[in-house]
Amino acid sequence: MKWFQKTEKEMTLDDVLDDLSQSADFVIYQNKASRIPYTLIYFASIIDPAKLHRVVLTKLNESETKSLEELEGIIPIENLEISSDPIKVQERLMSGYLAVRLNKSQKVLLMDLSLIKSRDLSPPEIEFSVMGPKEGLIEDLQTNMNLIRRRIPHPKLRMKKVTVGTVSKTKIIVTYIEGTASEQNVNTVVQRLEDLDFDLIADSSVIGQMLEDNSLSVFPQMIDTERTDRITGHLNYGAVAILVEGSSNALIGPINFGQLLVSFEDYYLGWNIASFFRIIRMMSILMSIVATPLYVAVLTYHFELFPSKLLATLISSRSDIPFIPVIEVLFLEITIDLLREAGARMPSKVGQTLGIVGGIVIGTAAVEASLTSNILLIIVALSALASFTTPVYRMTNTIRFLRYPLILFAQFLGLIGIALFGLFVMVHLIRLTSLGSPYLAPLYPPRVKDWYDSFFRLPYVLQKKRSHFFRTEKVSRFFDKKEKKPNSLDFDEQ
Amino acid sequence: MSYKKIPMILLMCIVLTACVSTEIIDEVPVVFIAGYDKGSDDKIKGTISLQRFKPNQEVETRTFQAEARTSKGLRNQLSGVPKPITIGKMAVMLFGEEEAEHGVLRVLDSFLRDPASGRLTYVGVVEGSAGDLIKEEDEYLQGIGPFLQILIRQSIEYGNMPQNNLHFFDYKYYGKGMDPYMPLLKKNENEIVISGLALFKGEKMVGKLDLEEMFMFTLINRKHKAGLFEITLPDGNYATLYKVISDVSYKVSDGNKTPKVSIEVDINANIAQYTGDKLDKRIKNDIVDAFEKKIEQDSMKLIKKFQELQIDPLALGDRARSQTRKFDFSNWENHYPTLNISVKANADIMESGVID
Amino acid sequence: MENSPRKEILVSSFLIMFIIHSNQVGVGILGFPRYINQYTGQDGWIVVLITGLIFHVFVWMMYVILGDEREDIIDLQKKWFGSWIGGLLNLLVMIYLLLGAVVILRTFIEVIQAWMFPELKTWIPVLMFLLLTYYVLAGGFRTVVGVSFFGVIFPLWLLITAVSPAKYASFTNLLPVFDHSLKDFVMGTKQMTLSFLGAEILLFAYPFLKNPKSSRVWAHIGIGGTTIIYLIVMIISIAFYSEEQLQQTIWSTLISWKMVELPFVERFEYIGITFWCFVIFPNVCLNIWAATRIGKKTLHIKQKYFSIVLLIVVFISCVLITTREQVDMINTITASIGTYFFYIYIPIIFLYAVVRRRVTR
Repeated sequence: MKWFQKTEKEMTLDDVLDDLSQSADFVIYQNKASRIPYTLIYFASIIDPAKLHRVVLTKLNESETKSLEELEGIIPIENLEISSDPIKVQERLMSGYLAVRLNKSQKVLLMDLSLIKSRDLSPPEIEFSVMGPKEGLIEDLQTNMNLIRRRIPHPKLRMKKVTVGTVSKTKIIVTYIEGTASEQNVNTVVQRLEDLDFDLIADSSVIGQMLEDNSLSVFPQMIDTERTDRITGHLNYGAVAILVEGSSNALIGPINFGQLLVSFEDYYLGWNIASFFRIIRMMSILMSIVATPLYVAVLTYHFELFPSKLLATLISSRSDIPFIPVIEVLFLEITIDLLREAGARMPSKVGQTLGIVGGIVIGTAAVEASLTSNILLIIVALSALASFTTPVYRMTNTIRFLRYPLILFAQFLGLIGIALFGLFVMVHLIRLTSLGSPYLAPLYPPRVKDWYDSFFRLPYVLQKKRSHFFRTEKVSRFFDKKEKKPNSLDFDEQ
Repeated sequence: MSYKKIPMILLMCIVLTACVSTEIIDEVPVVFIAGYDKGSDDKIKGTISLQRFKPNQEVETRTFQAEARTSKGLRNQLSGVPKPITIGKMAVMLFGEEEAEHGVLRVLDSFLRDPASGRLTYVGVVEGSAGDLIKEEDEYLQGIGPFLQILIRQSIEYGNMPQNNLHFFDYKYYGKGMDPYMPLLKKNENEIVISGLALFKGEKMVGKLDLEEMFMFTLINRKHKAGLFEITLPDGNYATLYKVISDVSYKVSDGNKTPKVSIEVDINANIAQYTGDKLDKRIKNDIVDAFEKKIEQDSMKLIKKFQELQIDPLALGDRARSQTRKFDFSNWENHYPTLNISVKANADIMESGVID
Repeated sequence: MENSPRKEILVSSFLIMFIIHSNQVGVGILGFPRYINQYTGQDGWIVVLITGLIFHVFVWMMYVILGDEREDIIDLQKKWFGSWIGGLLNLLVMIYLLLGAVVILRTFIEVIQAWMFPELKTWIPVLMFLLLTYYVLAGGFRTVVGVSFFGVIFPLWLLITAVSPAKYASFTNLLPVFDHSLKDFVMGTKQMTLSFLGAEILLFAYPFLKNPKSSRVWAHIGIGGTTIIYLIVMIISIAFYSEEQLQQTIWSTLISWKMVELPFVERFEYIGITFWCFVIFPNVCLNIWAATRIGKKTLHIKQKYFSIVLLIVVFISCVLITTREQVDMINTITASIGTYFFYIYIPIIFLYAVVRRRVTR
C-alpha cells in the first residue's frame, strides 16, 4: 500500500484527472464557447445523459455567474457539493457524479447524476412460496431499501451505512428498528462490519461468512434471504438485517436453529397446518442426515435389528451386490451430489433434463447392474428429497455435507459411531452462537415462553410477546384491547 | 485456532485406522431354525437350516448337521458353513423328545448367555427327531424357520396355546413355584402340526398334554383369548364356541400350613355353530352348563395329572407366594401332591351370530 | 468472593434439575434391580422410594451447608478447615469425582464390548469420549449444563419402550407388599445408594446458578425425577423377571429391551445402548468439570491445562481396567466411597455448618 499512500499526499486534481482519463468512458468536456467557460468531467458510462442534457447543460449555458457557489444555487439537482479534495472528487466521479470546473481552479462542483441500471423486481426464485407476497430483493441497494421502508413505514426504522472493501467500496446498509432491536446486536454487527478488511465484496454471502461467530462451523449462523416479508418480519421481532449493494440477498441475524426450519409461508397458513409442516420439516432433516448412515451401520453390524421378514427382503435385494454397504452408499450419495451439482451449473432447461435422465437412467441402471440395492436407492432418493424441504438454502448444503462424516463413523463403530458423531454435533450446536446469542435457543437454554414460535407456531392471539431470544427491550407486540367475549354459536348459545 | 482442529484430526485418524469386525448382512449365514437331538455318546446332535436369498425373492435352503458336547461347540463342527454363524435372528429352536428328556439347559444356556440372541425365540419339542423335521424344509417357501414361527405365534394369539417363548421358559425354569412348558410339534405324513404341550420339570421333559388338555390349560392358566372349542351337549347335539375369553382368579388360603387353592374361571364365549334346530334361551343355558361342567371336570383332571407328575406349570406355588406373607416353599412342596384344589367355572354366552 | 463466576456464565436455576438428574442416572440403571432384589425381592420398589426420600434429605442438607452466599464446597472447606486440611479434603473429593468418571465410562464401554463389539479395544471409545469431553469443557459450564440437559431430554422417549415388556409381565410378582425385614431394607437401601450417587454435583454447581436460593425446589424435582425413573424400571423388572431369574441377569434392563417388537425394528437393546451414550456423556463431563474446578481453586492451575491432565489420567485408568472383575471391583470401591461421602461426611459438615453459623452469629 506504499505507493497508494505516497500518491495520496502529492496528488492534485489534475493528476487525478490524468489518471482517470486512461479509461475510455471518461469524459472531460471543455466548453469555451458559452458565456462562462467551464469544464465538465464525468464517466459517461454511469451518469444519466438525459439529466445532463436537459438540466445541467441548459442551466450552465444560461447562467452568467462566475462562481461555483452561485452555480450551486441554480442547478436543480438534490446532491450538490463543492470540494477541492482530489481524493473525494475521484471517489464521487467513480460513483456517478458530474464535476463542473471553472478556470482550472482546484475546486469543483459535484452533482449526482448517477444512473442505476438494474433489473426489474421479480418474484423470489430460491425461496418460493405459494401463499404470501411474491416480492424479492434485487441487486440495487436503493430499490431494496425502498422495498423495506415501504413495508415498515415506522419512524424508528434505522438504516446505518457502512462502506466495506478496499477495491469494491461496497455500500452496506445495516437496518433495524430502534427500540425493538437490541442495541448490543446492532453494535456487534456495525463493529464487525467496520473491522472488516477485504478487497472485494461480491455478495452479501461473503459478508455473512465474515461476520459469523464461528467460521469453522458448517451451520449457517445468519440467514440469507431474498424475501422482503421475511426481512421485515425478522426486523419486527428485533433482528438486524444487512443489505449489501449489488446483492439480491439480505442477511438476517441473530438467528437460531429453529429459524432455519421456518418458511415464511408458515405465517400465512393456519397455525395448526403450519405447525404440522414444521414438524415434518424437522423430521425430514433428521431422516435426511441419519437414513443412509443407519443403513450402513445396521447392515454392517447390527442386522439383528430387522424383523425376520424385512431381513429377508433386504438380504435378497443385496444378494448380488459385490460391495460392502458403505461403498454402495457412498457411490449412490456421491452420484446424487453429482447430479445436484451438475444441475446447478447447467442452464436451467438442460439442467432439468439432466436431472430426470440422470435420476432415472443412472438409478435404474445401477440397480440392474447390481451395483446398488433397490432398497438403498429408495432410501437415498428419499433422503435427498428430504434435504430440500428446508426453507433456507444454506441449511440444505449443511445437511448434505453432514452425511458423509456420519457415514464414515457408521462404518467405523456402527450405531455407537453414529451416537458419537451425534454427540459431537450436539456439543457443537450447544457451543455455537449467532451474534452472541445461543444457537439452540429456545430449546437450550430452555425458554419455554419462546416456544410459541419455534418447533410449532401457535395462533397469533398467543404471540403477544416478542421472543426473548432477540434481547429486545420492547417486549409486547400488542395489547389486548377490550375483553370481548365472542358470540359462541356452539350449543345454540347466544 | 489450530489446536481446536486437533481433536477432529485425531477422531478422523481413529475412524480411518481402527476397525472392529463386521457382520455384513448378506455375508453372514443367518440361522432361523435349529434343532437339537440326542446324538451318540450323550453328545448333542445339532441341525441348522440356512437360507440363501436370491434377488427374485426366492429362498434356497440347506441343512447342516454336526455333533458336539456343547451347543457352541457345534459351531466348530459345522465346517461346511461360512463363519461367523449368527444366532441373532433365531426364530425357533426345536428339541427332539429324547434330548428334551435328557435336559435342554445344556443347549439353552449358551443362548441365554449370548447377548446376540433374542428372547422372543420360540422353543419347542418335537415328537421324534428335531433334525428330521428340519430336513423336511423343501415344503415351505419361506423356509421352515419363519413358517414355524408364524405357526406358533398365530396359535398363541388366535388359537389355544398359552403364551410361551425363550424368555418364559427361562422365567419358569428359574422361578420358584412354577415349571416350564413348551409347545409340542409333530410331523404328520407331509405337514407339521402342533400336537400339544410338553411339560417340564426343571430342564427335563416329563409329560405331554394333548390339544384338548392344552386348551383347558390355556383357559385356566391366565387371562387369555382362545380360539375355537367344540363341546358335546347332553342331547347329542354339538356346539362350537369361539373367541373364548377367560379371566381367572386364584385364591390361596392358609398358604404356610395346609394350603387350599380355589380357582375361579370367568369365561365369555360366542357361539359359532350349533347342530340343532333353534338356538333358544334354554339351549343356550344347556350349552353354558355343559361348558362349565366340562371345564371343571377337565381342569381337575389336568391338575391331578400335574400333581402326580409333581410339576407346577400353572405356577400355583408362585401364586401362593404372592398371597402369603413369609411364604414357606419347602412346606408348599411337601403339600403339593395332595393339595386341596377346587375349580369353579362361570361361563357366559355373549353373541350367537346373526340368527337364532 | 473473588472466585465467584461472572454473570454471563450463570445458568437458569431450574437447570439444576437436569444437572442433578443427569449426573445420577448412568449405567447403573441398566442392571441395578438385581442388586437390590437380592435383599428385598419383590419389595425392591419400596427401597427405591426410601432411597429417593433419603436423598431429598441430603439435598436439603447440602443447601444448608452451601448457605446463602455464592460459595461452593471447595471454598467452604478451605474457609472452614484452612487451606491445608481444606485443600486435602478437596483433593480427596477430586479423586472421588475422577473415580466416578472412570467407573461410569469404563462400565459403559464394557457394556458396548459385551453387547455390540466384543473386539473393540477400550482405548478407542474412551479416547473419543474424552476428546468430546474436552470440547465440552472448553465451552465452559454452560456447555456442560447443555450436555446434561440434552442427556435427559434425548433418551426420555426410551421410557415408553422400557414399559413395553409389560405385555409379558405378571404384576402379581409385586405381591405381597412389605414382606421383608428391616435389615433387608437397610441392605437394599445401601445397594440402591450407588444408583443415586451424583447428587453431590450440587455442591459444585451451586454458585453458577442465577438464583441459587430459588433453585431448591428444582433440585428436589431432579431427585424426584430420578426416583420415578428408577421406580418404573424397578417395577417392570420385578414383574418381568421371576425373582431367581433376575439374580441370574446382569443387565436386566437391556434384556427386557429384547422384548420390544415393532414392525420395522426389533432387538431394541442396541438402540437403547446407542442412546445411552447421551446419558453417560454428561456424567463424565460433570464429574471432570467439578474436578477441574477443584484444581483451579485448590492447586491454582488453569482449568484449560488441568482438564487436559485429568483427561489423560482418566484415559489411562480406563485403559488399565481390562476384565469384568476389575470393572466390578472399581464399581464397588466407588460405591462405598460414595456411600461414606453421603452418609457420613455430608451429615458431619452439615452439623458443622449449622453449629458454626450459630456461633458466628
